Amino acid sequence: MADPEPIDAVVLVADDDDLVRSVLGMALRSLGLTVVEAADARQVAEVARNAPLDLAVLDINMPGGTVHDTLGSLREEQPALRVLVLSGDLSPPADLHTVANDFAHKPIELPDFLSRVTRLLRQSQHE
Amino acid sequence: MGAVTWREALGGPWASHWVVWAALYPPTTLVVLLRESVTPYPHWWWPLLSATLQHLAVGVIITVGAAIFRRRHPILPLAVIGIVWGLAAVARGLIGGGIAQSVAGVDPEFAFRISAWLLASTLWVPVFVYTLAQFDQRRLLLGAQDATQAGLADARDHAGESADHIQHRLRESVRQTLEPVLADLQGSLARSRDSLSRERIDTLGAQLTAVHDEVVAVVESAGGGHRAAAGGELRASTRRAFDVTPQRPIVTSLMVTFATIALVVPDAWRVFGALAGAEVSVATTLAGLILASVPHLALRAGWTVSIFPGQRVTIVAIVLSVSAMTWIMLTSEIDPITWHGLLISPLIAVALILASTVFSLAAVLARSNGEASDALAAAIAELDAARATHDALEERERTRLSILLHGPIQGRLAACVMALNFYTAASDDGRDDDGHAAGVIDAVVRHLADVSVDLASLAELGHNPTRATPEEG
Repeated sequence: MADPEPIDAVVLVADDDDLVRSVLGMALRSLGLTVVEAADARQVAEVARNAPLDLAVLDINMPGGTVHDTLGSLREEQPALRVLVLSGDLSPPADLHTVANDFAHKPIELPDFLSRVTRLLRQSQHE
Repeated sequence: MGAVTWREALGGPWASHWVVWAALYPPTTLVVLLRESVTPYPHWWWPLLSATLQHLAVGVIITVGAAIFRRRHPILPLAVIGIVWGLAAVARGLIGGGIAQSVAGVDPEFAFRISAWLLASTLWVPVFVYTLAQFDQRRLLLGAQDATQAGLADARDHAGESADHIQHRLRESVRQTLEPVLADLQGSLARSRDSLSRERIDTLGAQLTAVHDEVVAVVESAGGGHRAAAGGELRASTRRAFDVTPQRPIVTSLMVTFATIALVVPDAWRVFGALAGAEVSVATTLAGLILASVPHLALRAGWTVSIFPGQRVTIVAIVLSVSAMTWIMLTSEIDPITWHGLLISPLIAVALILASTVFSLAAVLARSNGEASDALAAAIAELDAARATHDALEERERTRLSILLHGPIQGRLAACVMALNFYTAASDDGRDDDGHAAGVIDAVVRHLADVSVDLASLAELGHNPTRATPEEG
């Protein structure tokens, strides 16, 4: 894969599994992105209050609240924030499409993950 | 699967089935042999050849005729069936008369031959076709009943299974599938983590992906298999399908007597004269009376009676009636020439045995099949309800297990897969940091160890359902 054009952006990686956060962070940093991490819904809300974000990558099941609670707290602070939801389920809950910008199945391949992240960040920058 | 109506039986596949055609060969051949017994053929085998050619022509006409009309009507209209079998009867008369005229030089008597075959076909063919259609349906119904009863027994076995049992079975299934694979992966990673090549990590990533997919698949498929194989038509044995109790034996024997007289008397009269015709009528009537009386008395005495020709009462009835018929034909002196009786008796005997079996079945099978069809519908409804209850319980337990597997097991496995895949993809792109591999592998090994512990704990909980689950804390 050719080196993608660096994007100046801040991405939140929220997952209760430290290995997932670690590998997603590693992949995002390889694009030159700034990564902030959160391990539960409470930390997500805290990060959203304190840092301007360009994209959030959320695990669908995290301690401290449902995905809708977590998305609600993110949107409350940053209404235009792009969100990619990752889940072990093959298909997302029916109502998730209305609140998340993208949904992917976990485990996800690196090229697929980076392609989704890049697309969402470009959409965010073009608004 | 239901009972067969008159129209379905007479217009369905049995209307032109080879079994009907083959079953009619012996009696029709005997009729031809009797009819041609006074025709001066140059060789003894000409009547046999004539009978065979007539029967072959009938086979061609009903097969081709039915096939042509069946293109438009899967169930042939009764008028069409009547025309096809009527044409077959006409063909018999024309062929029989034509051969007699051309070989023996006698009057072909087309009118007599065609009329006799039309009468015989009208009386015998519909009953034959109807009976065979109902008989086949009975075999299918009994086969379906057996399969449904087996399914019900299986469902009843599973009905006693509690939610805890199902949960235990599902967890054991997951544990038994995953534990050896996980142990193998852990061992492989731990042994060679300092010297793992990119290809090796790639392979391990693929193995781990397979394990992860297995978790999902096992939850979906675990515990199934209680459904009996559906589909495919099972037929009960012929002997079992025959095993029905005759009903209204007096009415049935009246029909048997009439059909036999209609088949034999015209030729007996034409060949040997009125006295022979009268003798056949008396002998057949006496035989019919015995065929009616024996099962009637046996049923009144509370004995077991079956239409199956090998059943004791049926054998007695047939032997007595054929013996009485033969005794009248040979000794009654109504027709003083004894050899006439000798020639005609085999045809009457065959006609009586065939007619008593076929007409008795025709009278009984429609009702028996209706009852069997109702019983089958009730059994299927019971089976569906039992399966639905069990399926709902199993689905609930499967969902419960999949929730338990989600975080501690499936989630960690997904993390390991992503770690290995991301690492190898990054290596390909030159994004690898030296020494990062060992860190990733260490984390993956730790995760797999945690998965193994949770898996054991999950299976243990299956044995002790009252304890809290890993996720429940």
